[in-house]
Amino acid sequence: MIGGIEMTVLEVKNLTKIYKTKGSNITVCALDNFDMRIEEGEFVGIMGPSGSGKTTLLNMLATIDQPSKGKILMNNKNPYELKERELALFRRRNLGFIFQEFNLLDSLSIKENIILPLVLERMHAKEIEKKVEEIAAVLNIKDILNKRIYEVSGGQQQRAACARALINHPSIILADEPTGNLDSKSSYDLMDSLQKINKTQKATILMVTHDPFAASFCNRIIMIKDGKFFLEINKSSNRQVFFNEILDSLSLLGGGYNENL
Amino acid sequence: MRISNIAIKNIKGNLYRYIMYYLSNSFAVSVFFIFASFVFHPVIKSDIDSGKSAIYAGVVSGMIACQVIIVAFSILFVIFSTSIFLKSRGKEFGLLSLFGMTKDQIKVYLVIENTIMGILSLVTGIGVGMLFSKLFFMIMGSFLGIMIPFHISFKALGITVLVFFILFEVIGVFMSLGIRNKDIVDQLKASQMPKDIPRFSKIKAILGVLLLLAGYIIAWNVHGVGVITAMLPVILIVVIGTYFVFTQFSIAMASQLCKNKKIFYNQVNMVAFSQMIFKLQDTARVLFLAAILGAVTFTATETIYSFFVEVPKMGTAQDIAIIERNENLENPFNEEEIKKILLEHDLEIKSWDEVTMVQQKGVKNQGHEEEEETFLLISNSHLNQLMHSLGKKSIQVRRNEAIYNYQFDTIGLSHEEEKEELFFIKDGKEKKFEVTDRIYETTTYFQSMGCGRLVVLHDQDFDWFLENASQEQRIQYTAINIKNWRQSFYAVNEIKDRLGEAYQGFYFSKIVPYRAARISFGMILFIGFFIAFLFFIAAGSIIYFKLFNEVTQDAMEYSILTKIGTTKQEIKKIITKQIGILFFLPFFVSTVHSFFALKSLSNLLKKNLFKEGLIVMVAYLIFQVIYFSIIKILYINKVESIKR
Repeated sequence: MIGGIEMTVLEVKNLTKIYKTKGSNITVCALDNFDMRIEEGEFVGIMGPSGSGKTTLLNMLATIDQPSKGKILMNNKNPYELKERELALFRRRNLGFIFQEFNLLDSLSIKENIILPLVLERMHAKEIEKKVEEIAAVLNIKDILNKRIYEVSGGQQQRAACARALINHPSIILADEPTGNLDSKSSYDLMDSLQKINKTQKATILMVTHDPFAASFCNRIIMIKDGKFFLEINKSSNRQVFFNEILDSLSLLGGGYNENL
Repeated sequence: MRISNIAIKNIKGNLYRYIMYYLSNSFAVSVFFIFASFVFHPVIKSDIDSGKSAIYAGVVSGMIACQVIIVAFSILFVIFSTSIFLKSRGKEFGLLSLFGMTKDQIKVYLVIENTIMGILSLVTGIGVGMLFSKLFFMIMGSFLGIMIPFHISFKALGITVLVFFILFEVIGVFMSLGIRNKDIVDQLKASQMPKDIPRFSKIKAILGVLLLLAGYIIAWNVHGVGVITAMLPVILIVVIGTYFVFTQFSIAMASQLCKNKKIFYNQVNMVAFSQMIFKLQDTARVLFLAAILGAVTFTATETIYSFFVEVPKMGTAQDIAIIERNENLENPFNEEEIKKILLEHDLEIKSWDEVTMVQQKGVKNQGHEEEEETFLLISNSHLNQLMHSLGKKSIQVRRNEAIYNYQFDTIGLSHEEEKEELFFIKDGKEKKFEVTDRIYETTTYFQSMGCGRLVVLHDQDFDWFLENASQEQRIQYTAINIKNWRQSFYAVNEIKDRLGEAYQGFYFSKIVPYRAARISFGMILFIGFFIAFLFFIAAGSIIYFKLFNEVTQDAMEYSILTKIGTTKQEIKKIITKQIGILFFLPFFVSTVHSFFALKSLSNLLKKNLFKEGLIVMVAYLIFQVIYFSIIKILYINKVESIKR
């Protein structure tokens, strides 16, 4: 989407996931022939009611769950063809994660949590220091780098988690309900930061969310229902307009979704 | 569903937490039961009652002492383990009270749970004990030279059940009474509370190291009686030092390590080390206890093993020695016969020395007081002949001088180093000798007979005494050394029979007392091994507890690491590093402690015992590595099962 030649970062073809219940023959189709394509520099939101398959999709994109059928291509590579160890390394080098419950390690300081992916890659200490300074400046968390996890607010923790996801410049950042545990002010700050990262660093972000407000920061929203593609909306003008468009589309999704608003 | 059902379900669900506790208790019950079966065994009992064997009585009282140790230790172990359990289950109790369980019901629940664990340990322990009692009886029988048939003693069974059931129940009830009434909210939050950043006091950390060093230096340098005087203060210093080393110094070291970016920013080290600091802080006291328990176990084992190796060798001179005096001198034994017996047993004679000694009354003058004594005189060349055959250095005595030959340096009795003179009055002539030296070598069997102090004289001086000696004074000493003396037991007995009654008390061998001492120390070693092993697994078990208390929390952290792309191998590396430190740090400290204790013992006995110590430590190291590997696998499996 950003200038010149478009590069496809992620391509999902006929992705299907069927869960079998242990001991009985009941099968649940969580995801049904789902297609999707994400270009470099895009900021895409995935929305859908509970049980629509969002998390299933994200887990498979995160390469921590095996698809029953279909294909995922990241930078034209199929991660599911890799062995377990290579897959972990693939995750480390190509994917950045932001989770609803932050998932920071208690025993490490904010800074140590952020640099973890680089440390695992055996990067030189000086280079690590340089990178963490850069990213902390972008996310406005420079002052809290040496603090412990429980000494800072949820919003700051989530921005630290963002920094960890960003620090090794992954091909795509996967965010799972990043604002789910945050108050509205922190949510705004976080989404603002993500948008900034998307614009300035040209980071590709895929976010699963319930929250139309958070979703309004995206460029494109894909809605799924019952494991199938439902509709797609693109941001045309400003965020406020997009927010209203999202609300309208959500009412089309109908059912239980409205209760969540 | 009743409370007992919940209790059973809870034990099943938390089996991994209880397993080491259960195994340790079962082992204690097993050993107690086996020992009791021995003590109450009809064969042993009838022999003691009839006063047939004093040795049996000694063995039995030794075993009863061990049983007391086992029970005392089990009490401490169960109390300690239960208190760790209860602390780690705050959230569970909170939930139970939230659902409306009253405090009394929770206590009942705990008592039921405790009873189930106790009964399980008892049943397993007694079962295993019965299974292995046959083997134990066989081994003990071979030590004592009797047959002890398999026998299940109901007295032993009753006592074991009674002692341990009371032990488990009383502690269980007592501990459940101790649950404090915290707010449910606090209980629920208990496990989520963030841990404090580990702190340490520099002064205490340094103090710990200094105390340890001081203790070590003293232990290394004390000699003789000093060892016994210094023992308690040194133990105290070292225990306090160890406490600070674990609670302060270890955290200081780990923090320092985290500051070194080259090491810290290297792959898994960052996660492993920073988690390690928290774990060290949490487990410092447990590690301290494990280290002290280990030090006691290792030192005791090393001591018994050193005795087992060294004591039988002490105080023995030649492989075979025959003394002829009085009437035996007139009709000497047949040398050829003895040589033939040795030959028949394939025992090659290494040396055959015949020396003469003279028993002589004399006066010892230490300057201020005079004392009459009987002395045993030997010529310089004869003594050197004996020394040479024993592979010892020869000595030189000048004319009119004398050298005392003591059997060994007696502990605590510093031999008078001041000038001493000997006077002998013989046929109206007075001979005077100045004592110039004292050597400590076991050169003859006389030294342990109390025939008098062995005095080495110049050949010409000695000849004068020999010429003037009466028949009663003269002693012919035949000293035989053979190759493979360890195989000489049957030959030695045969020679004894051949020599007959005339030589009773005048015939010595190395092998007979050696075997007797070997058997009694072997028995002590064997019985002691059970106690040592109990301590050893218990020390590991309390570390295991602490480790598995946090397994859920750890598994969560590892799942975060997996999500951000840490490979399985890397996570295994982190776990191995952490469990390795928790297991081998106390082990290492125990080993170092025990080596310094062994050095003190070496100083006391004037023997170098490090070879024996090393053998014991290598054996323990092998056990420890096996123990560690098992627990590592259990832990990794548990983490993986939680992660999914």
